[in-house]
Amino acid sequence: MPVLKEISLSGNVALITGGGSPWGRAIALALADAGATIAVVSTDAEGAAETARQVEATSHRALSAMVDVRDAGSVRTMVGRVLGELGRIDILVNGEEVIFGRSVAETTAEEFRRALEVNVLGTFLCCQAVGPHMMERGRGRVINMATALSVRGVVNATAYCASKGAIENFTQALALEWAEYGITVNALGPGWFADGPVDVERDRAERTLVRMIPQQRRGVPDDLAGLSIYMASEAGAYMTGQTVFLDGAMLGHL
Amino acid sequence: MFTERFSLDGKIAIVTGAGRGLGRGQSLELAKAGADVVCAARTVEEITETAAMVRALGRRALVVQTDVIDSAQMERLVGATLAEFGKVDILVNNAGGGGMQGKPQHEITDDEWRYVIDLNLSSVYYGARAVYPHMAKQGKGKIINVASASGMRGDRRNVAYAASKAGVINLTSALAVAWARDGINVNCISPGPFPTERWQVTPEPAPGSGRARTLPSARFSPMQRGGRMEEMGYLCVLLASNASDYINGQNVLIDGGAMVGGYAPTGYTLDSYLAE
Ligand SMILES: NC(=O)c1ccc[n+]([C@@H]2O[C@H](COP(=O)([O-])OP(=O)(O)OC[C@H]3O[C@@H](n4cnc5c(N)ncnc54)[C@H](OP(=O)(O)O)[C@@H]3O)[C@@H](O)[C@H]2O)c1
Repeated sequence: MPVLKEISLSGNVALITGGGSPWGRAIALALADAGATIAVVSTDAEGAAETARQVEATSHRALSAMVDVRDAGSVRTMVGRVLGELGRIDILVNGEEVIFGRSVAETTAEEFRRALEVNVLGTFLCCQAVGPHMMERGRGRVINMATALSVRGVVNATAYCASKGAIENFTQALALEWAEYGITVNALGPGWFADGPVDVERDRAERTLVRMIPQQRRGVPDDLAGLSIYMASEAGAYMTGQTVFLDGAMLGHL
Repeated sequence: MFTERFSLDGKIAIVTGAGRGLGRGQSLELAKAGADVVCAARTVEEITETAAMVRALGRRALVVQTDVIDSAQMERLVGATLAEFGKVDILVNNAGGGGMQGKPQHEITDDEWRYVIDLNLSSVYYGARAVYPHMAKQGKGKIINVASASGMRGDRRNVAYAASKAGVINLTSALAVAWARDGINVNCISPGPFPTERWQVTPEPAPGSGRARTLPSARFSPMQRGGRMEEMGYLCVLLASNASDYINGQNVLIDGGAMVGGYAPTGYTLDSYLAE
């Protein structure tokens, strides 16, 4: 089947944080399918190891490690280990995130801080740790995790929305800072996704939700594959600072 | 598994404005990814040349002389495509342009205004309307419109163009919402500076001559270069392929970072700030 050679990631190493989640796993498998060697890291060491196993099952090389993205020391050690074992990092996917929904009245300062620390500070620390290596080589790809809630509000999710709004703007600012080094910084913006099969027939709430999506289905982790490969590859070299939404046209009317 | 989703093997694509510039770049990458390409524009020699380049890549090509301003010609373009290939999977509404650069913006005549709106905005609707029944029947289709960074900021040299391209961005979102249930994805691409052959030979007016400047090069893009025609083509392939099935209604920018805080096409450059 004819496929553009510019989407090949052969010879590239991708570091994926939050790689134990369904989204991180889908991205890992997608980048591996395009030829990249994968380093999956997460606070969820077991999940990361499982993703690495699944990547290896497709005959691509993978390693997994534990990291706390809120901790600069932990991030530096992890990046050092990946560079030590795999020699380079071409692609950084900042997938580690906490997702939670609670009203302002019910959210503690501690929880709010945790959302910002994992989602925003974690992304910052990983970029900071990998940046010098990419700058030195004059090439790099950063892919952050935004969401449709980076640009819309929803009831009972101030901490999450604030942290993800920050990611969209962080992506723009870092894109400018690193443009001259040949490093692109972009973000994936998933809309309403489900991480497993949902029974639309039986579940009334699900039925209502799905009706609000013009494409009449929720996104699944695999929907992130194509855009991730594009943003990680040579094909996407002139795109930077962008959050591209994958939402079945939901943002078109909400 | 995932990379195969980028393949356009067996797909039929129509590209308007395929004779040169971005449209030629789109046509060639779509062809490399496997699509057969219908090349449309007014200048037959140019689309014939693009078609020959598509054939040299081992794909089929069809040349259909078309003025996108005329909806009857757009219908005929789609009819010719169906007659030749039996279906249409991808429509790239790329033809456009027609700025009023250099003209005081309060002197645009009714005819000039309508021309720019028709060329850039109405043409997109005509194209989309013409392919809709076929794509809806097949339960799948990809429409890609070409807007512009000018559709997202003010452009003091070119208010009609800016307005028409802003229209394309919202038309894209509206059509996506309207047709998502039919299995049709409608997205648009907003290119930043992509120096075409034409740009490179345009002499820069002398500073202080009072004439609006054409964008001299892409030196204000944070990446410090303009886009390459192939790069436009790769994005087009992404949006035309199954790799982007859940992306719908989006305005996707490709501009080397220009619009997130670098250079915006407002008609002001660093020099013109200093000069005024
Ligand atoms: N280049 C850039 O940096 C840039 C930036 C932002 C947006 N864009 C947009 O990208 C698109 C392509 O631009 P370009 O730079 O590649 O322009 P270009 O080099 O001038 O090519 C324009 C193409 O459109 C065709 N066209 C123009 N008017 C037409 C009509 N009435 N009917 C049918 N075809 C027509 C032209 O062929 P004929 O004249 O033979 O018909 C030609 O093939 C346009 O929509 C433009 O607004 C370009």
